[in-house]
Amino acid sequence: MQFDANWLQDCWDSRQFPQLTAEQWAWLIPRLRREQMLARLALRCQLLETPDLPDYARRHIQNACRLAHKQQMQVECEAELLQQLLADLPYCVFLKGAAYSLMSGALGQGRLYSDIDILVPQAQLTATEQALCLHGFIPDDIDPYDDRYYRRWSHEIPPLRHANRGTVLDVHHQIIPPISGRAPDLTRLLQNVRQTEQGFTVLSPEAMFLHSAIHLFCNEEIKHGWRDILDLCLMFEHPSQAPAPEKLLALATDTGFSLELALALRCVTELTKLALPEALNDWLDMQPTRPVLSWCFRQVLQPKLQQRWQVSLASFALTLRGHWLKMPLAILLKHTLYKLWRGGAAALIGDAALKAKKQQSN
Amino acid sequence: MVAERFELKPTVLAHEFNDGSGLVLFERRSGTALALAMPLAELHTLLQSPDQELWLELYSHLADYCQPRP
Amino acid sequence: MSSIATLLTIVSRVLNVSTMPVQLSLPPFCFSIDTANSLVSENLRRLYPVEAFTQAALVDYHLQLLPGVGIHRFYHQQARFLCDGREPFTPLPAAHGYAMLEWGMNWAIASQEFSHVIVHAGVLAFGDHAVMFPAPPGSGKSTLTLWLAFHGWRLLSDEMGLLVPNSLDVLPFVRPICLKNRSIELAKQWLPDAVYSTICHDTHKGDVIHVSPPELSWQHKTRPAQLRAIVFPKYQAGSALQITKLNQAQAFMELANNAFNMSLLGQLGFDSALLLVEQLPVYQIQYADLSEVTQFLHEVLDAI
Repeated sequence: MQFDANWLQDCWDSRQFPQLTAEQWAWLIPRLRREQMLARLALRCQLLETPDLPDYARRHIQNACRLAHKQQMQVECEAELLQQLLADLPYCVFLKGAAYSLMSGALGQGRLYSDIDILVPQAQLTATEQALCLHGFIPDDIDPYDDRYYRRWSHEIPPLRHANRGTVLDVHHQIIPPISGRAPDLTRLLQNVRQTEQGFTVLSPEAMFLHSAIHLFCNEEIKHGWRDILDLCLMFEHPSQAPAPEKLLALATDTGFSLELALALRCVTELTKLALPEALNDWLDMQPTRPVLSWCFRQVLQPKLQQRWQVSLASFALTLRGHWLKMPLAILLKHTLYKLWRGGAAALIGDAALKAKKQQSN
Repeated sequence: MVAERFELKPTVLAHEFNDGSGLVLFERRSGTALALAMPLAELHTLLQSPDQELWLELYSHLADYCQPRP
Repeated sequence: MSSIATLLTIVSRVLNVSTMPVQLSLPPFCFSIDTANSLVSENLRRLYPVEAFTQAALVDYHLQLLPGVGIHRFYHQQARFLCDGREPFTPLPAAHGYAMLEWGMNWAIASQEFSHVIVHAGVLAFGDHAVMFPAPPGSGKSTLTLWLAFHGWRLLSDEMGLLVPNSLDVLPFVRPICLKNRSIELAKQWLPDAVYSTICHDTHKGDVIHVSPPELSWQHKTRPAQLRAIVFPKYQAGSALQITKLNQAQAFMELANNAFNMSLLGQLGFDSALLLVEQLPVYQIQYADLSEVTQFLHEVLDAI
């Protein structure tokens, strides 16, 4: 048996796992942990019910499932508190991992993430920040330059961390950095929201798919590519919850993200066994194929079980592209120069001296 | 003395320590626990009192409190 | 910036002669450690007994200590810690590499192992009767641990007590003891013949050194013990020994404040903590003289 990305993808698609020896598990488990996929795969393939599962595998899988379970519980609790805290806002939409968990379907099962993302209106950003701060969500100590950079060019404010619970909150006011010049009119997106069973606001199936696609295909650094492409795949898995083709296409066109939608649909069908609705296939046939870009994305969106030069090359190329898309050249240069200057200054006078300087100026 | 425990609500468990030193509330979903130097009888009185403010405050402390994660 | 960093990573990975990872079996866990930092390898060989370097067990966590990336490479040497390819900390100066590795091992276990209740505590046993010393950093816990480990007690752990859920059983996780700042000099006066790591100067915790526990502790590295008492220690210069017995409500909160994963374990963690505080005597002590503490601990064990 060849334990490569295709083999693992087949296991995922078929929900079947072959019987492995303890040594084989010891090879596979750290790799799955790195992909943040151990719990997700274990729950989908019901690995803990496998007879004769070696003790080594059972312990590590149980650890991962306990962590995932705890996260699921915790996010519900945090979401309830946030909902109360931000009750006066016209909207507070849960995004990405937190939203998947709150919908309590296959998408959230075993899905790990490191922070909770919410979207609030730009006009209410200061009020939101103040309310959160009063209730223990404090920004980490960051460089004033980085803080200004975030506030001026980014689509989110610097992450907030709860002083007691350690929960990290990312507050977004846009879905993509305005600096890219591609930030859509949010009202168009916000016509597409729904309520979960417990009353939390998340994006509609179409907006959720598009947002995840934008996030993945405009990103300069893809850390958990396999996990993220499977998010997209899972959104289509249950027909009743799947994005409606016409709505999805209209939303992508209106917001200007057809390229990202095409890349997402192409990669998800090439990498998984997902069969798209006919309307989407027909649309995809009319889109430019972008073979190089698709190739790069396919490399980084597969599970990385072996070290392959293709992956290093593709991720390097995508990093450059991601930065290019997000920042006009002048700002990119300014940013790079500042970072170089700070690095150089730290070398000359020491990091501690720079920090002391910062404290004085505060 | 036998320790007593009961559900305050589906997500919150109360347990009385067997030395009578007080009780501990446990929030199942966050895994958060908060010990109080208050006998169970007093908590009962508090919960049945028409003034729910005090109870709400108690609960919000529990929600805000948690052991820092590693 | 990360594009430049990525490029430099690729170049540096090509230029670096890749090393063979060593395998370190520290029951109940097994690590593989991959580093080209010679100071780190040297300290590992010095502090851990030869038998710990074995291929016999399956590796639980793959740790790497890599040189820094990006422009930092060219002006000061850095160390980056990775566990299974993920990087939980920001890089430190290369000279702090060994301390970083030990902290990294703590992180790997505290954040990913949920078969035990893990408490930030020293655990020592006299025979098979154990006392757990949970305490926040700076309370003198490790100095106390060191003293006891070299005065007839066996060390089960210095930083992380591994408790079997819903029981009084505690598992050893024998590793070097981590001392900070002034206790370093003190230790070297008491125990000139003990095995020390090189000192890491000016870390975020100050100066840090690791000390290998005595042979007795290593010999019993797989032998569980049973908890008989919990003691929250607080070193106070010049103080006579002061002992306060805690009631269960106080003991529970103190224990919860020092637990790593109790909230993550949910009800299992909650029930386990209740069992401990309802069945064990729990004390808070303030002390300056360690021989007074030792005498008190023997009295506690004899009384049970």
